[in-house]
Amino acid sequence: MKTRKSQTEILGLAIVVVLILVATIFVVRFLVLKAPTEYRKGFVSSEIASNMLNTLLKTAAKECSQLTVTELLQDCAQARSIICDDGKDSCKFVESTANYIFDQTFDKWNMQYEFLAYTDIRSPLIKVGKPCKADKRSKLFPIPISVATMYTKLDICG
Amino acid sequence: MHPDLLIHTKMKKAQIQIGETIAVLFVFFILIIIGFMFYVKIIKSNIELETEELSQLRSVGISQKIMFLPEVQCSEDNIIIDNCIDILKLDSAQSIMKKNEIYYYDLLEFSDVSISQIYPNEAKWNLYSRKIEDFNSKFVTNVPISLYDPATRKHGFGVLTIETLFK
Amino acid sequence: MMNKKGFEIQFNWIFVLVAGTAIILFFTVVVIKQKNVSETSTKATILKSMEAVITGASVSTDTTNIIDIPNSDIEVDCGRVSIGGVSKQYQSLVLFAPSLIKGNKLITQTLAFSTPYRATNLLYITSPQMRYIIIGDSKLAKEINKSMPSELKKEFYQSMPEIKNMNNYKIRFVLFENLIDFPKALEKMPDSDVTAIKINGDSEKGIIEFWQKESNSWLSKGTSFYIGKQSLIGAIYADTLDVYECNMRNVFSRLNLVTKIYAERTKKLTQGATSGRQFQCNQFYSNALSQLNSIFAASSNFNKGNIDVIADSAKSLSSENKNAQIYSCTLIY
Repeated sequence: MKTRKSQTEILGLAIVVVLILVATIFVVRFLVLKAPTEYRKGFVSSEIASNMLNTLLKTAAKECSQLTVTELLQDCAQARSIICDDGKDSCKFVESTANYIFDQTFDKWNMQYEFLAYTDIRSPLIKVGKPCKADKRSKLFPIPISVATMYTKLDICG
Repeated sequence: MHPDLLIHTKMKKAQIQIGETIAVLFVFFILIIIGFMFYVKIIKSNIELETEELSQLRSVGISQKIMFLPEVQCSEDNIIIDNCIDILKLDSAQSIMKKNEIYYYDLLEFSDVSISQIYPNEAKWNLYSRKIEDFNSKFVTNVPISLYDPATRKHGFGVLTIETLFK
Repeated sequence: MMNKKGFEIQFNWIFVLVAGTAIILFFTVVVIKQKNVSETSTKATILKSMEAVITGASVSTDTTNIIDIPNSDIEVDCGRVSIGGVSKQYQSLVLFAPSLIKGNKLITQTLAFSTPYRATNLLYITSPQMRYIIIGDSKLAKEINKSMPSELKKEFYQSMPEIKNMNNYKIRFVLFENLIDFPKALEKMPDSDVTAIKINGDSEKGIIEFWQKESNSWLSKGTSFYIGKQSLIGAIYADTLDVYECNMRNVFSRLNLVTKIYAERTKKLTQGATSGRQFQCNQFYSNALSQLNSIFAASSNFNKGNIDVIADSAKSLSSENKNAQIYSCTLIY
């Protein structure tokens, strides 16, 4: 009788010890051993997303009478009357320039991206890169045109 | 029992008791030391974590400082244009910053700052370089930046590369 | 037998005493060490916040912030910020602040130093526990009162009021007219905690006299100069002549570097304008270049003569820039 009682007591004690151990492991895992906060990653991706689009839109194309990418996009969404020195129209020229710039930047930095220029998102005028599968940082920039508003959108994945 | 034997037995019992107490104290201190070692280890890992975070923050700070340097930033009637670097300022800033490397160390610490033009032409400016061999962490930050040519009043596409090193 | 037992009990007590002392000693050492570590860590945290403030100041202008920090005494000197034994040294820091910042809050303000192009940002830090008393009826007095953050403990009077002691750790008088009689209510305050500046000039430039309490009167601590409202505000925040002049020297050395860059840039614009047949622009650029060269020469040293040269050149440069704008030339700055 006495042996059974002490056995039960020891079992209870063992359970308490196990519970304390589990609690300690949880405290150590989640409270003490924190993962470092990625301050830089947040700054870099937000800077890249906004700067890339702003800079691209301001850039002047020397092959297209020094017109800016914004002006070429406006033509692309409307008359498509501008033909650049290499024979490309405004849409084709912006697409190839964007491709070249992204190749020199995002591809070199191993970053996934998608660049769209559209008036209707279902049928974009320009599409460069691949859609993001999971997390993304987005930057949308509206450009006024005579009939409506066109948008340029840059998604940076990860 | 013989009195001498009684004294001998009692002495032995007392010695065992003292031995027991010493053993308990020994185990107690061992446990304290183990606990302390565990605590120190956790504190050490937290300090390493904080150092890493601090290095990251300093790297971000240096990147921001460069983007806002009056020595290279574009302005229009003293109104600052964000994310824009003046090409005409760059050439002279390059040599002035090199000549006054110690002055700029206060702002840019151990880092390497360069600007590359990607479009329409390719060009490169090395703005500041002060490196160390025995660094613990290194961060490379690339920021797309507009390169303004006041002579033509046109913008080009460039990348500001900032490599920061920390001990 | 009795003696043996007595010895056994005594030995037991001695043993307990030794073991107890050892345990108490061990924990006392641990606690003291931990206390020191924790204090140093708090000081380091505050220094980190200060560093963040200093970084932030160089990337943003015309901003005011209130920052919560652990309650502490921050000492600010020329190029050095220290809290207790922990300090951080800077080679060319521009930070206008009282020699001691007390409390659990920091008020920070940044303004651009432009002559007329931005050369650097000026950072001002103070404590909400410090009292500023501005006395003056001029336009400049009103402008300065407006430029200082409302979060400050500041009072603005057009003429000398009755001053009461409100138990602030430091009081700074900003006087735009004559030096006032020393307020009776502040006579018991430590000498270094009651200071004053008397301003003689306009929003462009002027002379600043630094004063400090000496028992029940004012003692002159010297005279300095300001160029622009921004540096005048710097003299209000910095409570000693040395700290103000040290900061102004740092501002001037940065101005010197930035001016050199603008001069080289203007030279290139002149060459570009000639080939581009914009002779009118070329005229503005060469005028601007001579002004920039005089600013460059004058910024090598912080003194009254150089301030006059810079202020005059800045005015001319500003008008050349306006002319360039009118004629659609590339702007000088």
